[in-house]
Amino acid sequence: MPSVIELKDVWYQYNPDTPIALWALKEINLKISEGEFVAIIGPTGSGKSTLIQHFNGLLRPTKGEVIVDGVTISKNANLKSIRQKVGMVFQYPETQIFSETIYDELAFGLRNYGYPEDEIKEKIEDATKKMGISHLPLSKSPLSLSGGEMRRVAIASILAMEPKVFVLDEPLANLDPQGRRELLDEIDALNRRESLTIIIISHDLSEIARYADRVVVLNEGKIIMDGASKEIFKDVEKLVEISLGVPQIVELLYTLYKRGADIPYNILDIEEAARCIAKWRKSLGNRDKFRTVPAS
Amino acid sequence: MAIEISFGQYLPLDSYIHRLDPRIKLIITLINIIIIFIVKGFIGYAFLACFLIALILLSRIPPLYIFRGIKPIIFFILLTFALHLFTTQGTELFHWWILRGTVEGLRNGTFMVIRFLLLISFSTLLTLTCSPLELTDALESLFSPFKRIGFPAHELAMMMSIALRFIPVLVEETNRIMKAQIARGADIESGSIFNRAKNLIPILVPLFVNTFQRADELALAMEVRCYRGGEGRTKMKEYILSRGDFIILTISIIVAIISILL
Amino acid sequence: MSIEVKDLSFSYEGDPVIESISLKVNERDFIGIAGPNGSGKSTLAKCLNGILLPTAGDVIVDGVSVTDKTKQWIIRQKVGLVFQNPDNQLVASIVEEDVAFGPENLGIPPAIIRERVSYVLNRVGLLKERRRLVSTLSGGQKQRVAIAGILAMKPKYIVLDEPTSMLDPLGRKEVLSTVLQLKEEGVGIVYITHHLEELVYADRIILLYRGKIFKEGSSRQILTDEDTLREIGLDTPEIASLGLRLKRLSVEFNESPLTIEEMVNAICN
Repeated sequence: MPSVIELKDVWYQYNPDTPIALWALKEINLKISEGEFVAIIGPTGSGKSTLIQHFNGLLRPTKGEVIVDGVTISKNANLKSIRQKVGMVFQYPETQIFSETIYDELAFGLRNYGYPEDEIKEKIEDATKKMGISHLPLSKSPLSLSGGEMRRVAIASILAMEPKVFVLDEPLANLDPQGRRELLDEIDALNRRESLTIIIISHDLSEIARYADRVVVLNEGKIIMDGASKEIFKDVEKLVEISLGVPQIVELLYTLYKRGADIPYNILDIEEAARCIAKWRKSLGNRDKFRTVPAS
Repeated sequence: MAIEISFGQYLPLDSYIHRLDPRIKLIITLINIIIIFIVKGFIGYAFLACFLIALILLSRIPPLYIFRGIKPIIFFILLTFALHLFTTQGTELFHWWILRGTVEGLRNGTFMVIRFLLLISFSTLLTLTCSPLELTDALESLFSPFKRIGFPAHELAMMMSIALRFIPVLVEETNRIMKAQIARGADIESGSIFNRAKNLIPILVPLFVNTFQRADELALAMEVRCYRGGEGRTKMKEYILSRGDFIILTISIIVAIISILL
Repeated sequence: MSIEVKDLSFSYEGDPVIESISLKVNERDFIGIAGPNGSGKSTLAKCLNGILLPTAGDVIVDGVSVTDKTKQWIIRQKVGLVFQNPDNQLVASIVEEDVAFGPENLGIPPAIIRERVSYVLNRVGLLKERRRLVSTLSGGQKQRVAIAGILAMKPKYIVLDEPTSMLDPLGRKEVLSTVLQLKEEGVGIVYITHHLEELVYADRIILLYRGKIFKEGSSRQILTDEDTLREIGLDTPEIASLGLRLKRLSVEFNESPLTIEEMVNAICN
């Protein structure tokens, strides 16, 4: 698959040439292909926000190259066109709402790109359907909606611009379990049905790992892991060490494994984990086949 | 296009100046600001500048921080200098195109530059060596005699303190909103003034809305912690004037008098 | 000594937000209140210390009704409230100054305030950060400063309204362990959340749905009640869920494990 975002040996430094200069990104090599669902995970301060701002030219690398859809981002690059291709939703997007009507808010991006009003109407209808908010009266004030609805409107306003890549920074922040599930399902549907490349940034691995094809782990400005979700979870200790939200199931299985149990621990599905544990228990019968660790 | 603000920044160090009573620091700063506009000769300014440098050294603040206070206004200072140089009547010093620089203009311009630099330096030193709370406590203390005639000294001090506390928060929020709107194709850098002003709406409206929400939540949090205005309130920080405070106040007054006389 | 909520109802502009809620919080209790967004959790929190007054019913704190205007401030000192947004609770720029805010409002003598500030900052593990600018702290640290600020007022009860919702995993861990330590202070804790894993150590859990109490019971009872939780849109915590599935696969335990240690012990013994 062709790569839609590529970072070649990218380094980024904040406040260069001052006493508070800080290297936020080091030696980043990353290739994201069309149609992928990638989760970029890292603890606070790992450089996640800095990284994604390179995807749409908000920041330009101190060293290295960023190539978006075949176009290298340079001083003369048409950043506006890149920002239409790479749609970006920041954390708590409902706090960026400013328009008088929901319609105007949804149309903001499209109007900035000079689309004619009749096309705008179509694209908005499409986007609201995909985000499950087509029932909302478009002439209402967006600030009168609930938090969850406002967030959906904000996301839809970017979706309406029909980007090739959809980048979402902590899209599930502060949603309740049902809200999180619904939103993730919708984002997943966008990936499966429309082949939209999805990049989600988070500090919590648990749920997102179950949806993403690929997980990239960032720590202290460097990529320390990059692979399929199941592969990433083989290195549980490292993940826990850098304070990432690892699913409790994985932590449990790993603890059993360390005690001598012969079971894989990179399982994300609870049912599968239960089966593995049950099978292992039965295979032991009544014999104590593990090191007894004193209760702590 | 991120915003950085150095004004009002407190640099917590342990120095003789930091440990002085903030009321004294405030009074000294005010004295110096007034003196700056009374002093007439270069020698007077030079003396005052030496006093300033001595204070900076005693405060252990790296000079870089003082410069950062000046940086944002440097253009304005140079403009003022040019204005005085070219619009003051008097003996001509030089001639360039339609602009006529005079000796008096040069003198006035230089004085204005010196005044601004001293003014900003003293003010910046004050905010660098006093925590926002110390500053507002000092203000409240100095204004409290006026409470008797209804002046809301405590309320103003509380408002200032909260404003200073939220400056970094609001700066970060503004940056965040700007980036979000730029990512949606908003253009705040090019175009006519009218266009650029229009494009500030997607930044200012959310900023205002969010700030009102913050204020609401903060007011609630204050109520929960039993805030009911200045009546009956005590302060953890007790300000007691010490000998060191009186010494420096006396020195300051002497410096002021000498500067005027020189 | 307790907070007694008697048939409490609260309506906003005619629309009922919570209806007929009754519950009791004793000193040293750890009560969890869970529910999906919109179930009225925050409103209930604000009713517990009189910030919001009941439309019907009553809230009685240590024998005093929250509707008693003369005792308003005493109740607020007794029932502390910690909110979700770390930034919007902190009033002062410097850690120790913010923690002192509450005691200052209570008119406590300066020397005693200084003692209390040192004590509570130590309790929440931030004594070394006392002179730091609040804006340089992490989310978890800010929330702990907020908790310290409430603790400095010596409350009998502390209500925490989704204190970890805006934090990262490390911050959540820090705040949770701080809250568990509050129990040792003898404080009655009401912990409101929609992350059920955080209520593993609660004595009792009350499920709120659409403004009413849907179900209540011990933490073990509620956290393993998959059907009820699903019905109101909450997730069964992973370990509890695992325990249920293991039971269905004929792996038996005496007590349903809720934490990783409990589960490991249950499986290996």
